[in-house]
Amino acid sequence: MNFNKLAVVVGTCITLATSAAHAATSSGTLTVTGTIESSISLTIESAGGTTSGTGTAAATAALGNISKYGSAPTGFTLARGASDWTISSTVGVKVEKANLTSTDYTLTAQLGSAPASGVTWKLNGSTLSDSTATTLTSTGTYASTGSYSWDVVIADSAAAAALDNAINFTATSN
Amino acid sequence: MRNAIQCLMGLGLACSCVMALAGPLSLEFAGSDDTNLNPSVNGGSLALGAMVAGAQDGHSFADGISLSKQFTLKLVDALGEASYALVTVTQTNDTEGCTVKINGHVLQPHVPVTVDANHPMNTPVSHLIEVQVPRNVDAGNFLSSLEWTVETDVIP
Repeated sequence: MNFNKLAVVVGTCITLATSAAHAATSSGTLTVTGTIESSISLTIESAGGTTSGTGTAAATAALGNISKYGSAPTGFTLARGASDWTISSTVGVKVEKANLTSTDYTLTAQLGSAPASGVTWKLNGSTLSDSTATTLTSTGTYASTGSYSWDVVIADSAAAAALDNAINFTATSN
Repeated sequence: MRNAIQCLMGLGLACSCVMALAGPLSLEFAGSDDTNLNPSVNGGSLALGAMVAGAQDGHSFADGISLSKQFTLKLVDALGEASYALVTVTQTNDTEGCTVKINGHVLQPHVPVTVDANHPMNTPVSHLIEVQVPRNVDAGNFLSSLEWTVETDVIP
């Protein structure tokens, strides 16, 4: 009788041993580390002229051939003065932030090269130069496209030549 | 009766031997071409370095930080008896607001997630880890501890 009970116990033990025999478990830990860095992004969203690259940080605006008594370039207005003429448009600049607690930013602009004699470039009413950055705003709002007036004033005395230049924008988080 | 007890004792010994046959099972992690993974015994550390929004090819600034890295995991069954293993990953430490995926499976804090139901044994298998950091997460250290648990199949 006792032997039979033991036989049952033995049988159970065999069954358990068999079912667990070849299954194994193990574990390990993979630690992933990195450093999240703050960053901001500046994009040219719009500009007068025939544009390309809007929505990126390197846009181009082609004005074509322009003259005091001709038509205004696409996206510009033309105003004739007594001794000069001005083409006017706007530039849209958007600054976004990531992983940054800053609430606003400062935006400056500077010409890439000295303007031709008799030609003045203005943004927001301020004359631009190639030597000093001009502040357009010190309280820029992130993720909102800021629109800045853009004027190119050309003296009647300026030689007929290409106006080519670059406006370099710089945004700095406050 | 005496014989039965001896028999039981013998079986107990046999059980011990059988249980010992189940191991050892180990995990070997390794990096790939652009993945800096320093392996250790049954684990390792994967250093992602500086993480900047939009810095990775194919991702825009709007995506925030989005990184993916390939690495390999080799499950070593020293006895060569198992064919496959179930692999689950539990995130035991995470950076709030960030998402970590393995092979497309989103990991959850303290919840085991199956990332490979039939992981072959004794051969390196490539896995993909993806890390997503939204733009509203503050700059600072990123840390994610992933506990990998493997369970081999049962051979009849």
